[in-house]
Amino acid sequence: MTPIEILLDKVLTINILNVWLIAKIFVLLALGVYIAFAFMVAKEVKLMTKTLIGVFNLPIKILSYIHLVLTIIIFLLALKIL
Amino acid sequence: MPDVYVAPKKPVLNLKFKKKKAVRNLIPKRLKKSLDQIGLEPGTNSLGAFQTLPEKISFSIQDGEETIILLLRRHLITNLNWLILTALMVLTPLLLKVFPLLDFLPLRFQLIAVLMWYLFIISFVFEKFLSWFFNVYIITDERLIDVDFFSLVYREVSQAKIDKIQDVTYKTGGLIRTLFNFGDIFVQTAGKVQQIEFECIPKPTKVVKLINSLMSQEEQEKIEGRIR
Repeated sequence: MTPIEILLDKVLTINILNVWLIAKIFVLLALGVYIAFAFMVAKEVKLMTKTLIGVFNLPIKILSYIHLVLTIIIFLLALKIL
Repeated sequence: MPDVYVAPKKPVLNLKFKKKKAVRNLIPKRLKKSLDQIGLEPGTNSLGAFQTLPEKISFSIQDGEETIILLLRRHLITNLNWLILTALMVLTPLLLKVFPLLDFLPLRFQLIAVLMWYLFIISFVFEKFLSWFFNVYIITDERLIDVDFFSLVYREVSQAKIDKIQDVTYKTGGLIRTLFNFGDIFVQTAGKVQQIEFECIPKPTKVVKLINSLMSQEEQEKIEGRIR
């Protein structure tokens, strides 16, 4: 077989390990987008607390940061175990 | 050397009582009388949907001398839909024991799938809470303010001065609204913002009475020449 034929053979062969690798990449991409969303939520909470200033502003800000940290933890967990 | 003057020691008062009294002492007599007639007392529940003379709350465009009389949110019962949905979503992974939909996935993928599901639930609940908590309607001694966060990225703040209000209408109907005493208030103004809507707020009749009272007081102040 020529080198090109060997390369095509490797790429086109559906290996069960490749399927889970592709699934892992998709899951990590989804979690990456989710981290961006969680970051946006934290930013928006900051804006909301500037508009309406009250007693619960600090706990809500902390909750938004906890949400962001949780998302990052799950991303790292997926990176490690998948 | 003997002291020239020794100040008498003041007795320590109950701070809670002092604060509540201080809040009421800041508002003018006329307004105090109106609030008493309507039956509005200062409350202490910061998570409530109907707060009279709320303490330690302000908003970004508030003037120095402006007093927040009412801070309103949608009635708590309007959150029932998403609370029930959340409860169902939390229990959904338990169904996997009966209907093994994820069994074709390796265990590690199943774990991550369940974690991602609960993360989604946390985001959903947080977003709904933020939407309820920060979408407020504020009535001050000078104006009405409607703060709307339509989504996480779009904010609209509408305001109307009390002396520009032309018409106040309230609407309440249906079994749930009558049972829990909440409704909508529509305020027509002569300003750029023609209508301000207060949706699903508790005790709409009291709110309308307050707005009418504030309008009378503004007219009285205009006649007396005490415009701020």
